[in-house]
Amino acid sequence: VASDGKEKRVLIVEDDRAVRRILSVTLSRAGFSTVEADSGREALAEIDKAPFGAVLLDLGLPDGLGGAVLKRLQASPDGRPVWMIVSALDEDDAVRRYGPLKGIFVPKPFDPWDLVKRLERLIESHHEDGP
Amino acid sequence: VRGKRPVVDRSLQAILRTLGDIGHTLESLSEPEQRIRHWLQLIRRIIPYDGCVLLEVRSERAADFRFISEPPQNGSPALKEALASSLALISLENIAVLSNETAPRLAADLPWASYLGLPLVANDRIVGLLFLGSAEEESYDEQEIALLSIVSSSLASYLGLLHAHEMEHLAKRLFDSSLIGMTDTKGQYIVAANDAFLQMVGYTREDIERGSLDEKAMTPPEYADLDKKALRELEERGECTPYEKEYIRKDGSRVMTLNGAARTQEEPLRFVCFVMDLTERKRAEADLERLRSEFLSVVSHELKTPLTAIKGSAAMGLSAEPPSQTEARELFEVINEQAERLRELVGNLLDATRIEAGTLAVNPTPEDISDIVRTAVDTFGHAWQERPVQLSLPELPPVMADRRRIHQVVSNLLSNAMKASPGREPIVVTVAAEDGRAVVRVKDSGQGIPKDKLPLLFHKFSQVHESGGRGTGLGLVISKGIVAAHGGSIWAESDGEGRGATFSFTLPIVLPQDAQAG
Repeated sequence: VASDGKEKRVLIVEDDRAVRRILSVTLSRAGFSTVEADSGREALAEIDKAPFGAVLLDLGLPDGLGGAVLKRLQASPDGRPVWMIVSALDEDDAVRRYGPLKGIFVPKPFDPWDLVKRLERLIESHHEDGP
Repeated sequence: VRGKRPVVDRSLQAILRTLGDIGHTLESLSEPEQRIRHWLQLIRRIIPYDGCVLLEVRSERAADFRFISEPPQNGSPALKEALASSLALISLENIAVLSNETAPRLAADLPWASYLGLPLVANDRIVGLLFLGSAEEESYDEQEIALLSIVSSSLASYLGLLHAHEMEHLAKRLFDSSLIGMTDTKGQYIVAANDAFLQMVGYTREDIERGSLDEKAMTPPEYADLDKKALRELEERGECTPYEKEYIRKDGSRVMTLNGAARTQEEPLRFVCFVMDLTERKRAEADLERLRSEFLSVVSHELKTPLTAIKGSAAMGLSAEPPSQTEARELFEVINEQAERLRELVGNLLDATRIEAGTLAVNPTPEDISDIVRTAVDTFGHAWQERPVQLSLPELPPVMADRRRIHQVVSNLLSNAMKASPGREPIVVTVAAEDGRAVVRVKDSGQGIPKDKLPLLFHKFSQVHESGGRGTGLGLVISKGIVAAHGGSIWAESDGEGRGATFSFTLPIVLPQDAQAG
């Protein structure tokens, strides 16, 4: 399916070292390759650098650029990469703060295996629907 | 001295002349006290007395009296008290001339053998009491009482005018004050308003004269019912319960106000309306609400992030593919570390709650402050290796300190200093004795604090650097609470952004006698 391997590249945007590490290890075990960003600024730079199959985005970043990263993702014309929003807020509070959210919302704390399964399904369904 | 009753000329001519003179005396409202004194002197020509006192009732409710006596030295405090108490003997419904016969008890308190007390009434209120006293017994007869009644009516009117004038002045002063918006409203039209109100709604005096200030038109439709209810209350009770409403300003924007009104005329309805601008208060409420919600989301983040790490580590440890021994160790380390983070956060939340409720208990004992600071820095060293900390910890007299709590404050200030200056610049920690207090200072050369944010630092819900490091912002709130509970103070100084900051706090030094006792 993922001929060029980019579908298997996941960008993890999360400021907390421990959470980032867990996501990275879980995704690696599931066969993904990961790139980590601990700020919005870094995430935007990575997105510009090379294509990703998926992005895991924690909205509440200390540089306040979580919303900007989300905007960039939502603006993508072909809907790629797919993304999931990870947040310590309830979805209602997150909407109040960041506006309407497109994408799958995963509240913290989450089960990392469960999250990876959902991510796999998301990539798959997007691939089927895609051009 | 028993005075001989002077002989007075009580011919019609003499009476008329006196009436004319006393009329002239009360022609102006300026210098009323002198005019009244002169009046008192003039009536002596036709009604003799040894002493005369006017008790002017400026406000019966507030017991606000003015005494004018003739001769002037006639007004001892005891006499004034006796005269004021005589007000209880009369009422509007029962206007009686007081005398030795009608009020013998009062007579005992007065310095005269016989007296007359004549109530003065104007505008349906008792405006004063005029007392004449004589050293002779049974000095005043029916004729003199009648004569006094006639002449004193001019004084009563004068006091009534004086009072009305004062009330007018008071009302004008109130109306013109900029403290509160006021309007004089007839039906639905504002016929007069003070500057405070005009500023609030953006209209001018000319607009009032043009009749543009129409309460109904100035009120957004959603407040029409509240206005109607207020009008009903005004009609029924003469007053309305204060309520919040909005006005549409001349430029179309809206202003939130608190309104109350009192009726001044029944038919057609006219009332004075008191209007308070609530814009600032509403803004402050909204700010607080925003800060509260911000704080909740920060706390939520701080609680859920470690939980996520713990849950994730556990899930990985339990997965079908068991972790290696090294991996397992790493997972447990994460769990341990994150549980510690949670413990600290929950501790901080509890401390902040105790401080807010005023139930934070400290047990200060004489302690060596330098030693507390050294221990805190040493403990901190494990977490922040390689950070140079410059210490100046001289030997000082003991301070009163709860060792554990002051340690917490120092750790907190160190932690902030480290976070604020992520480079290798040294943190400078000093202890000194100044003005009978010990002062601890923690100085960093980091990002600094803008001047206008300095006072906000120690407030709940405030984080000065929105994009700065994570944290609930509770550390300084707790530190302040702890220092305050010790009777000390805490403050921050900074020369501005990028120029570092110094946080200082003080603790009381133990006085020698306390040290011996302790």
